[in-house]
Amino acid sequence: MRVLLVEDNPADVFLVREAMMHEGVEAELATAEDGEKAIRLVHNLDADPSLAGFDCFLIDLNLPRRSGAEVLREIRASVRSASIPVIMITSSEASDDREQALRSGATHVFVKPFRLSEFRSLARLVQNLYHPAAS
Amino acid sequence: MMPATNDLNGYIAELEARLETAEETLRAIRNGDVDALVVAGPDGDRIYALDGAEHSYRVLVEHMREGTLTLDRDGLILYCNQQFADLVQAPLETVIGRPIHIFLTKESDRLLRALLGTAGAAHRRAELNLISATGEVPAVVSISNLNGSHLCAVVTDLTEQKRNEAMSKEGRLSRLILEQAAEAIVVIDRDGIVSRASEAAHRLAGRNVLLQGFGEMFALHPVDASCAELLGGTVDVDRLLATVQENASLMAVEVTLARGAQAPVSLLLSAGALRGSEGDLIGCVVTLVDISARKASEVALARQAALLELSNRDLRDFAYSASHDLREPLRVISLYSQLVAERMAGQADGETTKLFDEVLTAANRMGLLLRDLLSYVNAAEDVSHHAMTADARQALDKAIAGLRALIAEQDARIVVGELPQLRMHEVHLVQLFQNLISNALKYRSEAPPEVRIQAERDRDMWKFSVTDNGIGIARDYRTHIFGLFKRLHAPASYSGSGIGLAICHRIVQRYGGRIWVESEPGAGSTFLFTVPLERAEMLTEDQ
Repeated sequence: MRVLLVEDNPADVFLVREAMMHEGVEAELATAEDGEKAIRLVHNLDADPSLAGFDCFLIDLNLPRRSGAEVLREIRASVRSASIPVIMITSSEASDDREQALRSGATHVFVKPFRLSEFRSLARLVQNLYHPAAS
Repeated sequence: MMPATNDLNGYIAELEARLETAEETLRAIRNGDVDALVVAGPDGDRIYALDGAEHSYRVLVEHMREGTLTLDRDGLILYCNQQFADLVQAPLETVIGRPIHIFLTKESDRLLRALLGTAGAAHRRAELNLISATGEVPAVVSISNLNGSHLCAVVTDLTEQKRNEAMSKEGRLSRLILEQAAEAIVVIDRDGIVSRASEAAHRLAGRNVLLQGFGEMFALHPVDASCAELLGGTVDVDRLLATVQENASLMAVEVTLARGAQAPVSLLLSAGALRGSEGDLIGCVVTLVDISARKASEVALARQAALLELSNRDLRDFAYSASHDLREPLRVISLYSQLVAERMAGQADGETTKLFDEVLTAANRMGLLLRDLLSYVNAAEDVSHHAMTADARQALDKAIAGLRALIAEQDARIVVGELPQLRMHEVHLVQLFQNLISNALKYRSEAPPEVRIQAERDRDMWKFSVTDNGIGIARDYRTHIFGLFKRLHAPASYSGSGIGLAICHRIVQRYGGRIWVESEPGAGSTFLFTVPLERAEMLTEDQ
């Protein structure tokens, strides 16, 4: 499984990686540290069919340069990534952000918790959303 | 027995003859041909001789404008001229020989009797009211002694004079009104010319506006577009007259008056039609009320409010981002600490583990504080623009659902009375109930907690009460507890951020209500808050 994590906070990148390991989720974790880089990656996938695509996107809502919402829009508008699961990650408990993300096509919205066990549930969520093509 | 027809005919002939004689006598008197008169009365005939009266005097008496009478001491009219008969609107021949009292009002009669009784004075005057066939006639009566037993009375009609007096009184009054009125009042004739104006109107125009065209004197510009369409961009006096002609009046139209180099004045223009006796328009009355001062203070107030709103929003944004951004690193501290603690498990000594627990507890507590601070900031959200209806019962149910675990854990009983509909954000009401109930459960006594929630009308407010059987609050702390981060107990004994009641206070205040507590230590507490009934202007928003 290939996962793209779009996150500017290295601590959260570390925590996601730790959660994957702890939960035994075998995934190749690629990272992008801002929205612009993430969008470029999505466009590159469409431009070059030989590149390996992603099976899941983890995107922080609050990103430098281009927002998480913009990245989500570009993914849903792309050719190869349009139907890939996207988990939006936010530190805000505001229900507006959550509903907005779901309306824009997010598969799930994950609010960053204070409890480690809750954080690790993110890895299980990624695992559960992964349905490799039958072929 | 019926008299015979012949007898009657004879009687009529006799009467006619006597009438003719009487008329001849009167004519003779009027023409000055008679020197003496005999009048028959119940006490026998009375003879009145016009002693020494010259023919010319009688002519004068007959032709003067005043009513003239001669009376005996009892008020019997021995003689009167035609003018007097005209005054009382009775035929002359029916007046002579009758008591004057029947031509006087009761009050005047009393006065006249008094006059007739004062024999001594040679000349007396009094104002009386005569009774004529069509009403009362004001008159002044001068009485002079004629000889021992007879009096001469001259009666002057005051009707005209009284009318003039009344009119001049009215005129004086309206002049005074125009002088003293604080508002500019302008009377315009049908041609748009100012016929009368109050002092304030002259002052407003900066010159004498009498006999000038209203439009030239007052360059008024309606503020409202529809009024400008009706009256003209600069109020046109013909259109103003046409408008009052059609609608009879024009109320409080806001206009500005251009005054050359001076600052324009804001005025409220009202106009009403003046109509003649036939209902035809003869002009209109325009009132101009200066509202510049009011407008200026409104503008200043609005500017102040906008500034305040701006600074409030700044503060809100600051508090929001502060509490939000502070939570982020705190979350990392918390999660990393948990990771480290996990990795040290089994290796670290008891004290290190305890220290790490402290770090985690502090981080969690700070997380809660920041979350509540966010709620507090959100409670300040402007409620005026999108107020909505909330069912207090539903809001309470939501609050109870949110506290389900705590209620079960404490084995608490919640008793709810009948609750009204309110014009509030439901989320605010839920927050109020949740904070007050959790407060009641937190500061419980040994007895199983019981919380009663009730509402009652208190004039134009709903008054809610949340009563518990908890530990109570000492008098000194009853206002203190609604402050931010105010806690009466050490964190160790009671958990919580100390923001809950501050949030309640802020929400209630935001809706124009009040929150307070009634309590005795050891005897439980009742938190009370009021919120206004639905406001009329809020109702109109929905329409």
